[in-house]
Amino acid sequence: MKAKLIVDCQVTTGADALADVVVKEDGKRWYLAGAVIEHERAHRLVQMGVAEPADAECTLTCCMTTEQMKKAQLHQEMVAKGILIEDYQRYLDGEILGYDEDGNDIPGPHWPEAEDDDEEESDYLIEEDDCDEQP
Amino acid sequence: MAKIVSKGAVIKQDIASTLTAIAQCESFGSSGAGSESVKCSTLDTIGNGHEYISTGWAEGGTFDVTLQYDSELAGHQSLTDDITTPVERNYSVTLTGGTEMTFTAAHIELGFTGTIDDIVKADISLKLDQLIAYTT
Repeated sequence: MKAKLIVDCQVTTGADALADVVVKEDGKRWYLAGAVIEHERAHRLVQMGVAEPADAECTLTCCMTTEQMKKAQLHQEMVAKGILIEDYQRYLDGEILGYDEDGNDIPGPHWPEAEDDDEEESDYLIEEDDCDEQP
Repeated sequence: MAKIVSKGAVIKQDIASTLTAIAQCESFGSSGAGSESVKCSTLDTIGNGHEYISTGWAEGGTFDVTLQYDSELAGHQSLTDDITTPVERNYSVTLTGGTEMTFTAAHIELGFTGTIDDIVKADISLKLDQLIAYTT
């Protein structure tokens, strides 16, 4: 059965099917998104959220609705980035994009630190005003 | 010297000739890997100490991973597939800094643990075929 990759996937060691394979900057071999994988377990790629069915056999074996596939794709995105389960909601809210090599959060578009900074600044100004009012 | 953090570690499994992320690692560890030797003391051995000689072989040991288990996830089903249909399979554990430990597992053992104040965890033990691809 066949599945079409929707994200780039690393080629496993010893794989002999080398069509659509490129070597990336990390020195590893990758299938690029769009490559069609023909394999007896190709349906698992769809269930894992890295591919979509490319033939009827795969569609029937996966037995997934479009909604279920989208859910699997989102889950796979988080798993592949190593997002901890307790941080799933923060990732979905755009607070973090993942972790850097030191394990620290990589801020996302809705990283809350900027709001905290504003609050700290206003607190500081209030304290300054209070000082001025003292005799 | 680099400090390699474990947070964000992901285990990948060979699925249809791709290494696909299947789960976050709660913890992971390799044990039992080492070169092998054989005792070869004889009556000619000088002193009380036994003599050993390298066999030229090395043991890969096992690679153990603990993860939060969810039987509905395809990635975790892919692990149990290998119990119901035993097969040798490639794995890698990738860290956020790019460090990767790649190996082939000859067999898998998978068990569950649950306690009243914790979620269900799966403990996986992978018996290595040959050795981890060490950085040299």
